[in-house]
Amino acid sequence: MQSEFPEVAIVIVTTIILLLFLVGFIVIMLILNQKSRLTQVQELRLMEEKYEQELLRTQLEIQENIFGNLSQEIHDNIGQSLTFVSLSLLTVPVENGSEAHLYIEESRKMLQKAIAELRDLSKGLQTERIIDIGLVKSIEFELQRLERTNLYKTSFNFTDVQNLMDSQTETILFRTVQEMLNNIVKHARASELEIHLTHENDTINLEIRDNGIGFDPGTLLEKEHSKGLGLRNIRKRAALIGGTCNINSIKNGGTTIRITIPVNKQPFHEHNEESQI
Amino acid sequence: MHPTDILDFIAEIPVYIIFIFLCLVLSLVSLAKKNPPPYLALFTCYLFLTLVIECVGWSFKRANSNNLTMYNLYGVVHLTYAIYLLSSFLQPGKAKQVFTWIMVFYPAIALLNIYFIQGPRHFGTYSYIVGAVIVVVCSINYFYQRIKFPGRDNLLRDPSFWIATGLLFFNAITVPYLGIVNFVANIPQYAYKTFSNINAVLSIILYSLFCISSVCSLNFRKLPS
Ligand SMILES: Nc1ncnc2c1ncn2[C@@H]1O[C@H](COP(=O)(O)OP(=O)(O)OP(=O)(O)O)[C@@H](O)[C@H]1O
Ligand SMILES: [Mg+2]
Repeated sequence: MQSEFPEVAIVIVTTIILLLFLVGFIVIMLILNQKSRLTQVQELRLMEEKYEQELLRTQLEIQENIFGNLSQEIHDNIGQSLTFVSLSLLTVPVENGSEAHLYIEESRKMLQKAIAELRDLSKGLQTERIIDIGLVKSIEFELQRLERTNLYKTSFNFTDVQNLMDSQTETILFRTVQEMLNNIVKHARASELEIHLTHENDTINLEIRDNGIGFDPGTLLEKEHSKGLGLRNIRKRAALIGGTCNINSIKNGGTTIRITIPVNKQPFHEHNEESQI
Repeated sequence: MHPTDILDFIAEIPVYIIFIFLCLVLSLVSLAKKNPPPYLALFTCYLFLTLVIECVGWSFKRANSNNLTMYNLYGVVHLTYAIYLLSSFLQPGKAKQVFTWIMVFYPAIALLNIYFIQGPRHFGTYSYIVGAVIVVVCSINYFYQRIKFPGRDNLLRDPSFWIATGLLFFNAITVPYLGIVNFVANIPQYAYKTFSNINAVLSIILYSLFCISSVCSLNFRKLPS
């Protein structure tokens, strides 16, 4: 027994050391594995975000292209044809003051109006023009179009936001305004609408308000996947230029949509510079 | 046979053999379940072989007769299977290919060593040490991959993690141990006894890790990959 004691002790001590090693190894492996998994998840999320942005950016680019083509088509083809028709009507051999002449004059006026409207539409679609004349002028132009229908009273307040945004941000904001105005015409049954474009500290706020029938933004969220794209696109676009979109609407109490974007944090800007190199 | 004889006999069974038996039972149970891991069938065969070998070895030892040939051959099978098992856990790639080739060549070289270099009258330490080192390298490779490509599953629930841990641990310690046994001539009797006790402890640790692995396979679910 006496001589066996150190042997037993050696075996026990060795066993304990071995087990400690084993546990230590497993714990270290666990920690490393967990850490690596976390970074992997983060990387994946980042990649997904980047992919989404890239997708949206391409979508917007394609959209702008289509708008450009449409605008050109309207201006060059349909516009020209209508102008030609209008001129031809002048040469119709009818007596001045006759009944036929009156009809023709009436048609010519209608045609002229259509031509003017088409030209406005064409201008609104043209990306370069928006960039040229700037966001404020573009919005004013759009509101004038609405005023001319005599269905809406519009007002536009703005502070000086020139040189605070790059042209792509301006285009995106303008397309947002267009979509919101479309929605007002399509759904709101409003009689008055206001647009505010303000600059506070380092954010730009764009607010569009109407006094129409309103809707419940909550129920909209549920069926967002099935119905219209407009509001969803507005949200995505706002996110793309690093901003947020706030929809405030009450049944029969009008709708206010507010977009807030930071002035000096625009991922689009970086991308732009990159692609110009 | 008297009942007390049977009790004596059971008390005499080495603990590690009991652990191997436990492993085998757990493997069989998880094999009977739905969706067992793909390697489990062969692993169960391997455990069965191990149990038979250790039982035979133990009874030979009781009868004080020589069982070197059997252990030599079993060592080759054991290490080859360990390399195969570990390389099947690896992600497809160069390392996996290399270990698969090693798995093919190792038994030939080991048998060559056992029969022609060290001779069948000795334990084939050279080939065993080489095999154990390969197993260690392969399992380190496995752990490296588990850190680099962590996957989604919890490490502690993954049967392959426990098997690889057991193989790494067992072989990493067996290598220096065998080295000492082989190169230090005439180890004193008491040291030899201590060594064989530690060896038994190592076996117990290895087979308990295998047991954990089998428990993990019980609720193993195939990843939709
Ligand atoms: N200014 C508004 N006043 C009242 N309801 C609105 C207004 N803007 C949006 N809505 C409601 O929100 C819904 C979703 O608008 P959204 O712009 O996303 O889709 P849409 O206009 O129906 O389709 P799309 O824009 O794709 O042509 C509309 O169907 C409408 O019921
Ligand atoms: Mg809409």
